[in-house]
Amino acid sequence: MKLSYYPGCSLHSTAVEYNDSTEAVFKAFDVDLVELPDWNCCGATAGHSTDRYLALALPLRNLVIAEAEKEKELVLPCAACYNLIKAADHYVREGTPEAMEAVRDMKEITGKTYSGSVHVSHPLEVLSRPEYAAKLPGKVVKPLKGLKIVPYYGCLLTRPGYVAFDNTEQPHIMDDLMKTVGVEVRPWSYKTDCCGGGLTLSRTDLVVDIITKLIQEAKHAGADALVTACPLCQITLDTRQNKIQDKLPVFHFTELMGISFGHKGAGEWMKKHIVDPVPLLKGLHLL
Amino acid sequence: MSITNNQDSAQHASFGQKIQEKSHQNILSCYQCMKCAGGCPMNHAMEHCNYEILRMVQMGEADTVLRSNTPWLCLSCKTCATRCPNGIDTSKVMDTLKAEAVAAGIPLSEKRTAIFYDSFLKMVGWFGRLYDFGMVGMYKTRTGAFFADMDLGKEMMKRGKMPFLPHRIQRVDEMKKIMRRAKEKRQ
Repeated sequence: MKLSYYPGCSLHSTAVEYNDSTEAVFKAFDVDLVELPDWNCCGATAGHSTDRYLALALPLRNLVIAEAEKEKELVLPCAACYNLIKAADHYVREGTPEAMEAVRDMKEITGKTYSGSVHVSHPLEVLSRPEYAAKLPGKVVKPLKGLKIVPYYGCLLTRPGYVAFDNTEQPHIMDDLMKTVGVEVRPWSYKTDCCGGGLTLSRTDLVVDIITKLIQEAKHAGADALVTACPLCQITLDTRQNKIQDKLPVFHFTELMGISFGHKGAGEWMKKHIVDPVPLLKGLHLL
Repeated sequence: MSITNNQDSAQHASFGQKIQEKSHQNILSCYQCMKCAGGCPMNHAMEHCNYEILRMVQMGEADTVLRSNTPWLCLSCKTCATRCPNGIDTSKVMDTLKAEAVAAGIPLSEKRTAIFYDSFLKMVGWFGRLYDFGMVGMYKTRTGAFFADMDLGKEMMKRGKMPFLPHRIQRVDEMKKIMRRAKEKRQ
């Protein structure tokens, strides 16, 4: 089976290990992720923050391309891209005047239109479907016994309601996946807090404060690591632990799934992290 | 309470109406329950809480809200949007206020953030995708923050996480057209 795939800029640069582990996990389910041809950046925070039109037009160009593909489902592992592209799709389906104007502009610019027929989804949503959930236990050759984590969903996967595929205040899909691969999921109250990612360059001071609090709370919860489903949460948590003495590794959820599947490339993914997760995994005989 | 003349009230009303229309949020329905600030991760660093900004927009206090650091510290986490009993997405009001402040040429209280956004979008317009190395270089040149994150940058490059060369999409002309159209609409 094939699914259209929009990696987004991060998965080609600061989160290559998320790209590789996502592809590996889908491959284990015999699904090929086919990269969307000539995709463009969704504009991220920079786009919507000062220009509402760009927040629609940049995602729309990708939806136009996706609609012309055979596979009508577009998988986006980056929560920021997912959020913006899902929102643009939502506004087109709602038929808001601004969205319709952007659709007309896209027809002029690209020669093609978007009618709202693409299903925009995040890997967490896809992998939690019954057809995957039924097969998942059979894929696990190395249950991740002894690994204690807290799941971190951040903002953009569950908010606002029209992009959400899980409970907005108490999501559980990643918890369930992690439990199935043998991880001990510790309860904590910070699953859906913001990591501050959008201001990591310009207000590093404030972002370091947010991350310090999150890491401290993860430790209080008894976790040895955090697990994310967003490359921006991951990089912010991984790189802004300046004030933390014993830093905690931060995994992409697909990395832990891949390790539990016995994927041979997992060692390479770990080399990409800033906070080295290898001692923790070796200590538990998981790598 | 001071009594404003008719001209003042008209101006105030028109500012509130403009922000309401541009953000597509029913700002007038805010009754100051303060739930938005309760969940806001940046509340402590903001000059005005988000519900205070909404009140000032209702009252037409354009100058104060456009000079406030509040819109620039909003992370668009949408906690406020999810919890507002009146369905107001305050982050969209903040986005509108940032765009208004830039358009009005008001000295921005969080200039570095504005430069970050602009440098980011320049790369997207030129290449179709974010070119991290170029964006960081432009941001540092324009803000003078040359030495920030030097060690981190080296670590990222060592791990192949910050490619030295940009990737340009094939139909980059379409990006230029989108950017041009956006600029026309801002004017």
